[in-house]
Order: sequence, then C-alpha cells, then structure tokens
Amino acid sequence: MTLIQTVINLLISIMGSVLVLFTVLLLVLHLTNSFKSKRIQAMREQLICLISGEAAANRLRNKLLAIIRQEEGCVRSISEIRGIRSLRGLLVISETADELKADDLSVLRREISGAWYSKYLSAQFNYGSVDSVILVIKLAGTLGLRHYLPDIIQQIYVHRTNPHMQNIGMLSLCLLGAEAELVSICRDSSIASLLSFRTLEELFTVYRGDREKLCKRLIDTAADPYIRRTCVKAIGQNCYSSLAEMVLPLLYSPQLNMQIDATRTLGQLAYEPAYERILAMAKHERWELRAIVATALVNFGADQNEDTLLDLVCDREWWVRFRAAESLAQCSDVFAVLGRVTARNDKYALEMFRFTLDKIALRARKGVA
Amino acid sequence: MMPIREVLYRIVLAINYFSLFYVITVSTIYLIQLISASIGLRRYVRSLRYIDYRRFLDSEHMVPISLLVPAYNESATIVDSVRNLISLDFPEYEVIVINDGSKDETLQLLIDAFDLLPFHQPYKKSLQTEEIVEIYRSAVDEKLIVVNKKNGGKADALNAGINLASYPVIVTIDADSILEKNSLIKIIYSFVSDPTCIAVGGIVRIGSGCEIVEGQMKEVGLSKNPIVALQTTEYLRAFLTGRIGFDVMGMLLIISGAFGAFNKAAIIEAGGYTRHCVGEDMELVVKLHQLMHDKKRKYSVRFLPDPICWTQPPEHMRDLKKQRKRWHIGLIDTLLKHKKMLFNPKYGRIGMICLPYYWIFELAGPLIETFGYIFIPISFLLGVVNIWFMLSFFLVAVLYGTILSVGALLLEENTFKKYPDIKQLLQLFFYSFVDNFGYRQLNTIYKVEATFGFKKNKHRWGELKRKGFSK
Repeated sequence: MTLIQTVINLLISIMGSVLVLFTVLLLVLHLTNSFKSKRIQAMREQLICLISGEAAANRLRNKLLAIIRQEEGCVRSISEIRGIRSLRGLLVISETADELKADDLSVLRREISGAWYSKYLSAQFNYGSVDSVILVIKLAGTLGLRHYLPDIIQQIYVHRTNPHMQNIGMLSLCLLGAEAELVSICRDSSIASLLSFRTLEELFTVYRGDREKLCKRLIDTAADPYIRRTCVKAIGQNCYSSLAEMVLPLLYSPQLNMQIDATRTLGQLAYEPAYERILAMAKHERWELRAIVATALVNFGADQNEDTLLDLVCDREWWVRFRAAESLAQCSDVFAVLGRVTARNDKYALEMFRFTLDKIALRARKGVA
Repeated sequence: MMPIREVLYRIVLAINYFSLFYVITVSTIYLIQLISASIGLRRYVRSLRYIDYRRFLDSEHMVPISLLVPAYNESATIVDSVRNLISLDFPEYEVIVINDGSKDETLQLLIDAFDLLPFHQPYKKSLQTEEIVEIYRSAVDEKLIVVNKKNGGKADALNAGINLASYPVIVTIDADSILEKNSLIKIIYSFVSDPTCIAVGGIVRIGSGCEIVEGQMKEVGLSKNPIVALQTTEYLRAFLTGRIGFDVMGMLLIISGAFGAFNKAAIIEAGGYTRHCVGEDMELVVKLHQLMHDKKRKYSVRFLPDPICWTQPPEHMRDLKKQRKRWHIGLIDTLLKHKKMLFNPKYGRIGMICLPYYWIFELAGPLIETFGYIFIPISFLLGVVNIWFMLSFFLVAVLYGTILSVGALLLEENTFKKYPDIKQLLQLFFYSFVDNFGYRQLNTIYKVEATFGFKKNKHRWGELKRKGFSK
C-alpha cells in the first residue's frame, strides 16, 4: 500500500502543479486579450505587448494603417514601427494587404518596397522559417513585387513537398502574371503537383496575365493531367474559341475525366468540327459522358438535337435523364416536346421532364405546373 | 490454507492496484490527447495564415453542397434554424429539410414561413428509406426543399435526404442547431484542398444562453442553468481536446451528427446511414473507415475546430439522461457492429489503437469507474486502505478531470476566444471543477444503465424537449 500511496501523492503533486500553471496561464491570457478600451490599451500597451501576441499584432496593424492613411501625429515610415520586421509583422502586413483597396495598396507597396523592409524580406528567403517565407511569397504576390520572382521559384523547388508552399507559390505567380515561370514549373515533371483540381481552377481564375496564352502553352505540355484539365475547363469558361482546335483531340483521350472536360468545353464553344463526335458519344457506355453530352448538345441548338435529347431523357441513368430534361426544356416549343416525351411511354423520362418544367416555372414565380 | 480474510484482503488489494493502474493509464491517454490537441490547434491556426476563405466566397470552383436537416417534432426551433441555414455565406448550396413524420406542427410551420409548394421531384433511390409522402419547394427561396416522409428515425431521414441531394458533398445539421455564417465555407474548404477527404466534422458549441436573433448569433453567452453550463465545459473538453487529439493522430471515429460534412458518393458506397441505429453518426464514420481500408483507398477524415455549430443541449436532468443513454447505446451498438475490425491489422491504427481504446476506456470505462466507487469504500471498511488513501485517490480523479477541462479552456482562450467576459471565464472555470462532484458520476451511472439496458433500448431514440432560439 505504501507504494500506491507514494504514487498517488506524486500524481497529486504533479496534477496540482499543472492545474495551478494552467489556471495562471488562463487568467493571464484572458486579461491580456480582454483589454479593449483605448485608454487602458495605451497605458498598458507596452506591458501587454510583451505577453500577448494579439495585442502586439493589433498595435502593429494600427500603426501600419495610420501610415497608409497618413493620419496626423503618426509615425511616417514603416521603419519607425518597432517589431514590424518579424513573423508577426509579416502576418499583419499580409492580412492588411488582403483588406486594402487599390489606392491604399499602392502606399503599402511603396513602404514595403523601400530598402529598409526589402532587406528584411530578402533575408527571409535565406534565413527565415518556412512560415515566414510563405508569408513573404504571398505578400509579393498581393503587392505585385515582381523582383522576388526568382526567389519564389527557388523556394517552390526547395520546398517541393510542402503543399502550402506550392499553393501560395503558385498563387503569387498567378497574381504576378508570371507566365514564363508558371509554364516552366508546370512543365517540370520533377515537381509533383500537390494541389487539387479545384485549387488549380481557382488559381487560374486569379491569373493576371494573358490567360488564353497560358492555356495555349500548357494544355498539352503540363506535366500534371490536372493542370491540362484546368486549361481545358478555362478555355470553355472563358470562351477562348481560338483554342478549340487544341481541345478537339482530347475528345479521344483515354482518360474519362479529360474526355468529359473536353466535351463540356467544346459544347460551351459550340465548336462545329466536334459536333459529330459529341453526337456519337451520346451512345457512350459511360453514363458520365452521356450526361455531359446531354448538356453540351444544347449549345449546338436544342431544337436541332431534339431527337438525341429525347433518347437521352429515356436513359436508364438518373443523371443523364436529368441533364437531358434540362436541355430539352430549352427547346422553342416545350409543350410540343412534352407531347413527344409523353409519346415515348417512359414514365421516368416524363416525370423528369415535368420536374424540370416545374422548376423553371417556380423560378419564374409563375406558379407550379 | 490461507484464511478467508487474507484472500479477501489480497483480492481487494489487487483491485486497488488495478484501479490505480487504470486511472494512471486514462490520465496519461487524456494528457496525450491534450498535448496532441494543442499541437493540432497550433498547426491549424498557422495554416489559417495562408488560407483566405474570402477568395472562395464567390468562387464557382467551390464544391456545391446539400445541407440535410432531419427534423422530428422540432416545431420549437425549425423556422429559426432554416432561416439561419438559407442565409449562410456560400456560393452554391441547397437546404433539404426532412420531416421524419413529426407529430407536431413542424411541417405546417415550414409551409407557412417559407411559402412551400408541393412539388413532384424525381430522385435517385440510391438508399432504401421509408416512403416519401410529399416534396415541397419554397417559392421564397429556391434553395429550400422540404421532404415529408413516414417516420423511420434519424438515419432513415438522412438517407432520404441523401437520395434527394443534388450535390457531391452533403452537410448534416440538427434541426435544433444553427451555423455561423462562414462555417460552411470553412468546413467545405477541406474537400477543395484535399481530394481524398471523405468526411469533416466541425465543432459543436452550446448555444443556450447566447443571444440569437432571427437565426443569427448576436452575442455569445453562458446559460444560467447549471446543467447547461456543465455541458458547455464538457463540450469544450470533448471537442477541443478529444476530437482534435484524435484528428492529429489520424484516428477520428466520431463526427457529430449535429454538424458534419461528407462525400456523398462515399456514403452511398458504404450503404448510407444504418437504419434504426441510434448512434448513426459514429457508425457511419466507422463504416467509412472500414470501406476505405477494405478498398485500399487513400482517404482522410478530419475535424476542424473553427467552423462552429451552435446547438441546444438538454436543459433538464430527464432529457440529459435520455441523451447520454442514447449516446452510449450508440457507442456500444457501433462497437459491436464493427467488432471484426478490433485488433485487425488490416484496419491500421483504427483497428489496432483507436477501436481498442473505445472498447477499454469508453465502453468498459464507466463500469470500471463504478466498480471503483464501490470498491474503494469497501477497501476502507475492510481496513485495506486508510482514509487518506481513499481521499487522495478521489483527489487524483478530480484533479485530472479539472486539468483536462481547464486545459480545454486554455486552448479555447488561446485560439478562438469566444467568451470575452472574465465573468464567463470564471464561471466556466468553476464548472470545470464542480463537474467532478456529481455531474461526472451521474453521467457514468447513465452509461452503466445504458450498458445494462442495451438490448432493450438499442433502437429507441427518445425525444428531448426543446425551446426556441429567438429572444
């Protein structure tokens, strides 16, 4: 029993000490977080900043905003803000840059591009932690600091297995409109893309250069199939008709997803040379393709493709019927189409088409059929 | 021959040794969870430095989602909840409320509040459910769909919702809960950034005592009801240490039914929610783990501490008892249903560490704890232990419980700071301590009751009394 008692006594002492420590920490944290009044903040700022990260960040943010808005009595240059050359400072600048409008952003850009802060930013690429490097890269993209391009590329290569670095690195390259650098990275098979398809799509959306040219250069040369698919989708979404010819061969791609994206894109562009092939794919064994064909055909004219769409609305797969019904609803005489769907004697096709019409009616607030 | 008294003495002594070993093991595990949670939270907060959710608010590349709201006799909260859900910040989503044969005016309230019109909507019957009587669509908000079906339980209602869902990701939310405006974008971002993600859970916090106006959170507060306040600290502890801890270790088994997001195709492949299972949320996650391991697919199940769902907890002991018994029956049911995964190396750390943990500490824990409450005083009466030992043993249990709760409070204060008032913090601190004197023991008794009544009650859901959110 003595052994048990000793162990219990030891546990009590350890737990008691941990509890006291936690309690003190909790109170200190709360007290430093909760001082919001300006007067108290001013009085205790120095002290609070010593122990509270949030208070220190607020102080930096306020001083930075004062410089940007050229408030009277404030510090005149970023070099006068103590602690701005730190990870916290970088974080504050990065967050502030995200919130600023064009005019204010140019003031911030001027301050950050100054020799004093540039020296600090450059040093981060050599000696900073991964966190600070990512923040510097993000800042470079947001503020359009193109002279950091070689450093950004280098860091993407150095940290090739870090998805955050790859995401922010690519984001900055897109924001900087750095076509040559993006193409070079995307073509390099030694750097595996860690980004999801949707993330890549989002990155392409913020690209500030000539997106059509970028798509043209990457559609058949990017190492990662996700990037090639992103180009195909961007071509359709942005109606880059001049690139339709490059998408055409992808209709025969061995990859189903690529075939789907190509079909969707060529449908969006209503690219006539692809029409016959798309029409033939209405009988494809994969329902995913038949569904996308049902949507694509409407761009070549719903009336013109009514027969194929009628076949598709009677498809055994729910999604194909759904898409075909949506396309049929765009025919010029929907009541005539309703009659023809009824004549097919397929209750599933009929209920799907009725549902589509009801939805349109509800949307138009004209009542429900 | 050893005299009987000596044999008894040795048995009781052995039980005391076992109890001590058990308490130390549990404390160590929870401490590891707390440390993992603080590492996980730090990592998560750091990742927030780079992720700018606002970029995705208007993005057409965000995954569209279907929000499923099963409702059974939820007339007190349903209108506020739905109002909240149709006004969230998210580019493309639909809200599907599934009225699971409510006996109150849940459906009528929805029809009146959102101008619902009967609608003939064909849907793909991927999962078997009870019959759907009617489907309604709102003339006020195109996003809202209401399904009126025959009663079949929460799992059945969710399966019906999945059948009707048009989008690839579904988010389940309880009808007595509301989401913060940016909760959806935060939780769904996981599916955008990680294509292998099949399920994500958000944090559930206690909304009673908060000021909620027209379905929107105005001010965070604490309830004056001690039962609710005790649950507030309990939820903080469970989510900020337990869930994050398991997430960091890649062993998350529970995504709360109150707020979770799932890949629809994965759920359908797993056969949907198991009907008539009261712990359908945990059961689904275990099923998904099993499926992914069986198919040898790369996948992730995540917990995020940032997307918040505010819920209404039971406010009376009777309701609390029902809820806790149901949770424990759900746990037992799930563990029994998946006992083949236990210590099966095929299921990796889920089979070798996580499930054994649940069997030993979550399932058997309440029984062992009750055993301890009975045997330590017996030991004292038999003269095996002295009064100081008995008290210090109890003190250890109290201290470790308090450390965990205060640790969770510390993590909360260091990251999300949802309780800005010092009074609220002191209250939470007080309840973290008080929690050990009665509330915890009561929960243990409920769990023991649930264990013994498992066979009888395993399909019984039990109804809780709700009150509205709006002031």
